Amino acid sequence: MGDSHYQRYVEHRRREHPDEPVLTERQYWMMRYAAADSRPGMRCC
Amino acid sequence: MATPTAAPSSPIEHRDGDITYIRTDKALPPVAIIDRSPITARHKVVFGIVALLGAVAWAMMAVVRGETVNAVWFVIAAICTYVIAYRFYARLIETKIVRPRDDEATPAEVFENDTDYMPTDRRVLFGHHFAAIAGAGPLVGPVLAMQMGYLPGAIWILIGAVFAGCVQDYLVLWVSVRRRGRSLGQMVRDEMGTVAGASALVAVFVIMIILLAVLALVVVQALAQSPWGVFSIAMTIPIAVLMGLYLRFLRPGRVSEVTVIGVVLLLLAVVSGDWVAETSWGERWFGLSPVALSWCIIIYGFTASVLPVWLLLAPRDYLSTFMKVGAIGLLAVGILLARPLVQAPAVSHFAISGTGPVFAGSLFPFLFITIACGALSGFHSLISSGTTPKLLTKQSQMRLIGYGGMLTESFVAIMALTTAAILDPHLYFVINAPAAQTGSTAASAAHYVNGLGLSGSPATPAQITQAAHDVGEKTVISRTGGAPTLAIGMSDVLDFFGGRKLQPFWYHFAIMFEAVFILTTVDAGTRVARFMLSDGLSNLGGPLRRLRDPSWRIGAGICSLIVVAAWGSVLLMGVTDPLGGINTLFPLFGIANQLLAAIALTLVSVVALKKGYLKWVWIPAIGLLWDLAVTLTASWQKIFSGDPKVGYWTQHHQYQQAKHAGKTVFGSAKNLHQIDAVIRNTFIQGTLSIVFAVLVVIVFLAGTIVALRVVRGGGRALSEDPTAPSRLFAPSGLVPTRAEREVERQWDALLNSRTASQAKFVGTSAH
Repeated sequence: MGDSHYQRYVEHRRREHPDEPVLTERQYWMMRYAAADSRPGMRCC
Repeated sequence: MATPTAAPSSPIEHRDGDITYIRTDKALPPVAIIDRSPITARHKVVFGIVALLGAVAWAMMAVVRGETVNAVWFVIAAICTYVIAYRFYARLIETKIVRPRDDEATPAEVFENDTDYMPTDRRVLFGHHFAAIAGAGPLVGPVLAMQMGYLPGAIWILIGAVFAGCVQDYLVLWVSVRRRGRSLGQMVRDEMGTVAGASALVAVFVIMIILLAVLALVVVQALAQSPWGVFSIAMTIPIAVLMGLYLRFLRPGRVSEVTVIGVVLLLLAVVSGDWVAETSWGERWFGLSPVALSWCIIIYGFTASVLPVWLLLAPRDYLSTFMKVGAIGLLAVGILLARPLVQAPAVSHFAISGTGPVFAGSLFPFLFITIACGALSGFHSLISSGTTPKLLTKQSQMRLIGYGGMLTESFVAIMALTTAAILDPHLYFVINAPAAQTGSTAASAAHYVNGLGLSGSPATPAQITQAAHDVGEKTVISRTGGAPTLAIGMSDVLDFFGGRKLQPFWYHFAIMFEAVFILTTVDAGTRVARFMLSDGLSNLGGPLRRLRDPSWRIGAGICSLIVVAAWGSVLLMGVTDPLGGINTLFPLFGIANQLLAAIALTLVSVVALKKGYLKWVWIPAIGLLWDLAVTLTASWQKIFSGDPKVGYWTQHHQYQQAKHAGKTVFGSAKNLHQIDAVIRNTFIQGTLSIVFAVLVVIVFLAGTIVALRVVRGGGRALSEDPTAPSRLFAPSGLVPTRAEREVERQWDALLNSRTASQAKFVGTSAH
């Protein structure tokens, strides 16, 4: 349900952008929720 | 965000017997497998047995009558139908229309950005997608449709899902995946022109407002005057906030952990609700009238849509997702273990006469309107475009996610139908007929249902009181909206675990999870509608352009207020409707939902034609034509029918004449105020019916024009995005095949060696 998202993110960053800094887990989730704030997911009936 | 680059070289194919492995890079393992192995003898036998068992179950359900139809046959018929449909029909759609190319990268791979574009494990995505499409809809519709007996509903849920609902979800996903996960409205505009696009956008918005209002109405009907229910739902808010704070400040990212804590607290809230309801303050605070409760939900909806998502929306969604999977699994196990007998008739006389109290109108078209979610739900097209395509790892997984996800929702609907079918028909109508008919006392309700001509022994007032007492409520009379019926049926099924004593707990547990689903839809939906509104308004230009900036709090607040006012007023209208809200508004909700399906199916049919699949366009078209026949007939009857129970305008004029004639009591209206209410409500409902129908006819006509141009040769070009070669691999189905496991092993080995010597492989990826 999202437990592995941070790990996935770290792996992705390392793979694709190895020179750039990686967010901490706390920062990562703040970024995720900030993104969700501006792009809400629809829930159906 | 990376930009897709054109394939530097054509894919490298390697054949091994019937299996073709495709690589996009010599240095990497295969990214796609095409398996052309013929069906094995073992599979033939297995599917033969499934087909045979399914046929027997269908026969037991449909043909063999008597008093011993066991509910388990429903479940078996459903599962066998799904297995055959998924293996054969979905496969046909895959090979003839979808034609997945796993050597092409999906939007999730190309645009991976750690937030909305992310290649996600197919099993996780299946869960996400299912949680997003399924809510209270498939639980409520089949319960209301039980008025016509179980058979018409069961047939429509199974056949409708296989040939219409699943096809829509699957094909919208297909169209959106090839367009970076664009939304339905955008795709309609790109493929069918600006007029159709604008109509689709307005339709989506108006339909969403109706959806939110009707779902909120279902909650209100289930919770009014029920302190136990209101207390346990109210507690979900502090629990969610607690979870949000925990994730923000204590342990970020521990989603499962916090969800388990939340669920435990939620169960405690349901258990302690009994005790709270007994106290005098519990009664005072939580025993709310329908109108007071509506205001609470309206205020909640507004607050939730302006608060940051981490505080309330996201943790609530975790709870809701967990409850969805857990509660529905529990119900399935309960039905299989308890194996209850069906008490409802296969086809009731209301199916023929169309005079039932739960919703008015004949079987065609109104049964197919009442059961939307579970058979064909247009709202899914908003999930299948937009959210899910941005998380899809491989194109070949669309069959599992799109078609399979909808089959699962259909199964939820079958279980809801089963749960309603095991109730005594007299009790069913006591709960589901509007108060104007039942009269709200046990004696009057018994008198009313005994006059309906139902089979079985007549109901006594004592039985009706006892039924309420059994589930820990004061009354079950006219608790319309479907949720209480389902909760009573569920408490019957689940008393298998723990006996009669636990029935009140199971009842309130069921009410709680239905309300949680609905409130999750209400808060997320209000938020989505707010964004749609500010987007739409900002396109008008001038000072409104500022609305495009989502961090402008005042703009966000105003848009939220408009959205909440829109659905809130429809909700209040339904709650105070002298004719009994659910039976007047639910058809409107069903029509709205399926008109959206008509828009989605028009889009996929047009795209299929543009791709040159003229021979296979019947696959989406049968769903589309059936859906148009149903919804436009229903709209026509709602607008023009001379029967006041069906036609909004006929009723409107009758009450208006009564008012002019100076009457103060007319039909279900007991005073002048109520007569005015009916006149106003029927005007709004009638107007909405016209708006929906006109918008959809516009989109359909635009689609037809585009389709004709395409068939004649010419017309607008297809708006698919250019593709990029994929550089990752994942299995297609739920269970990987042997070849897929082998390729997965190669990728794992490669990734492990990469992490071991990282610097050496840096930069192998092209994007």
